[in-house]
Amino acid sequence: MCQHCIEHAGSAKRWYLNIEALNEKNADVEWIKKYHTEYSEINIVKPKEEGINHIREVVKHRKGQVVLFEEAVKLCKAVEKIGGPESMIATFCPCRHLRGGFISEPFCIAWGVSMNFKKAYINKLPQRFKKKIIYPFTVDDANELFKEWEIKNKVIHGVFGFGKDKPYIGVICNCEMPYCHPMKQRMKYDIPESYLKSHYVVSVNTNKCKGCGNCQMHCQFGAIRLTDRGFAVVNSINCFGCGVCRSTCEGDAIKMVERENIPLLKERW
Amino acid sequence: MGVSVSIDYEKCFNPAGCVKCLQICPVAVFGLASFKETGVDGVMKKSYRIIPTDDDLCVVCNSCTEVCPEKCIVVKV
Repeated sequence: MCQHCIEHAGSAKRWYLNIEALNEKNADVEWIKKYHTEYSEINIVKPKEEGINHIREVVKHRKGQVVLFEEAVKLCKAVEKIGGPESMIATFCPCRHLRGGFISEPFCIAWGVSMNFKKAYINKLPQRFKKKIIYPFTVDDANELFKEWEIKNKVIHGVFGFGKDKPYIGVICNCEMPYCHPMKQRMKYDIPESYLKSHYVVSVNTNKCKGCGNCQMHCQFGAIRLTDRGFAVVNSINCFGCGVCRSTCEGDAIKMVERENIPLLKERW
Repeated sequence: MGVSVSIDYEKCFNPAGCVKCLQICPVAVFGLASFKETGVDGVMKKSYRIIPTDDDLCVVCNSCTEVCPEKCIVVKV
């Protein structure tokens, strides 16, 4: 089982679908505030100076996991149910901002406690960015935009929980390598808890595969490849189960299967 | 093979306004860090600095040394 689920799922099936994790009373507001105000220091200055020990300390408080498109929408639905349509905002991704990424779209969805700190950050942004911020951000927006970004920008969706014992889930990110800090920290320091793989893994139906090669082009992890025999083959150990290849597939040949059910993969998160 | 990337901060005078090296780097070696500093007049000021945080991932494409208008980035292998 996935480590975050063992520790924080409670009675729910997944840790990020646990309704307690959306309860603002459980949020460690002090730490969330510190994380948002000292973002560049925590993710850029200190990893350079203190290295792996600093990242281990951060990861205790910041837990992340890749989720599928429909799970991300489901989470948005739960948030809207609790706080109404005005409880979510789509704003700019600080990782891309500080790493020189392409910041054309508001890739960062925040709500509740995190939203309040994000709003403070927005005031400092230049005017041309402010125009693109989506507030209020509704489930319909999520449904439409997450899919669009998957296909157009090749982004993967990730949920992040902030807090040591009871993580408060505050953001859905639409991440891409090499700008995403949690993903980069996972790869560089080999700390999987920073950004766990999703609960699913890709399975290709070779009969349906048309050999278009979109999956190979869109995979951020180099986990799927079009062979010269005309169909795609997945390296399931590298696969993060983000579902980007599935949404770009022309032949509807890609299916997501539960990671838990595959003996080789059930301990690899 | 150890690659080290260093920046001459005396020449890099407008990091937050330029960020050309950040945008061109294929592996995002650089990061833009902000600091709060007290100036000579005692007023808190925000200053920026580009830090080559992940120079161990550098692929030595030398795009940053070419794009930098002040030629202040040095890549050593």
